[in-house]
Amino acid sequence: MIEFQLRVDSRILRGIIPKIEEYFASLRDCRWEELFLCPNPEDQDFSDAWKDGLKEDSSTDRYGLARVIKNAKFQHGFVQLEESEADSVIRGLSELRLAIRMGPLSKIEDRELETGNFDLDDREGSVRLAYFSYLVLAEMQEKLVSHAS
Amino acid sequence: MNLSKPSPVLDEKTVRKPAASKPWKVIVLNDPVNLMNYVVMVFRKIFGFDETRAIKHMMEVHELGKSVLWTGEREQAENYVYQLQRWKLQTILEQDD
Repeated sequence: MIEFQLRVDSRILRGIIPKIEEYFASLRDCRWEELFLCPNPEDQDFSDAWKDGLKEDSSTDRYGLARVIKNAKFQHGFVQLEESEADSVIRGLSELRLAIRMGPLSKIEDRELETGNFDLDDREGSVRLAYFSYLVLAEMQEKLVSHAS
Repeated sequence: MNLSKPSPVLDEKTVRKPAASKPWKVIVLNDPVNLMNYVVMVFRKIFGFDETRAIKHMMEVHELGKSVLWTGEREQAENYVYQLQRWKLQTILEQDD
C-alpha cells in the first residue's frame, strides 16, 4: 500500500477538491485523439483500433485515480492506493493535469506555466483555483513517481 | 497492429533500396505539463534506458522541443508510439531521411 500526506494548507485543499472533482468529471469530454495522433490515419480500421485502445486504457487509469480522489481521506490531503494501481494513477494524473492545462489554464503561455513565472493575482479566481489544483496534482504525481522509480 | 504489406521480390542489382525499408523514428515532443521525473520514468519503463540515457532524452525534449527515442522497423515503432501516447506523451512517427 502506498500512503502519503500532501503538503497543502487544509483551507486551500477544501477549496480545490470540489474543482478537482469537477475537472475529473470533464475528462469524459476530452478529445485526446486530436493530440495523440494515430500514425496511420488513412487506415480506418487501424485508426479506430488505435483510438479505442487509448480510450480504454485511459478509462482504466481514471478508474484508479477516481478511487484515490473519492477516498474520504483525500479530503484531508491523505493519498492512499494499492501498489498495483500506481502506474494507472500516475497516468491518470497526467491526463487530468493535461485537461486542466487545455481548459481553465489555456490562456497561460507554455513558458509561463513551465517556469511558474506569471502573476497569479492578475488572473481570474477560476484560473487561480485551476492553477492550485494543477500544482497539488503535480505534487501528488511527483511523490508517486519517486515511489515508482 | 501489424500494418506491414507484402513486398514484391526485387533484384538487388537493378533496383535501388525502396523507401519503405527506411527506418522509422519514434519522436517525443515537448509539452509544458508532464514533469521531468515523470518523463524520465516513462522512458526507462518503455525503452529500458538507464537513468543517464533517459535524462539525456528528457533534456533534449525539454530544450530542443523533441527527441528521437528509437529508430527501427515500423511495427515496433508503432508499438512504442502507442505506449508513449498511453503515458500521455505527445509522440509522432517519422520515416528516416
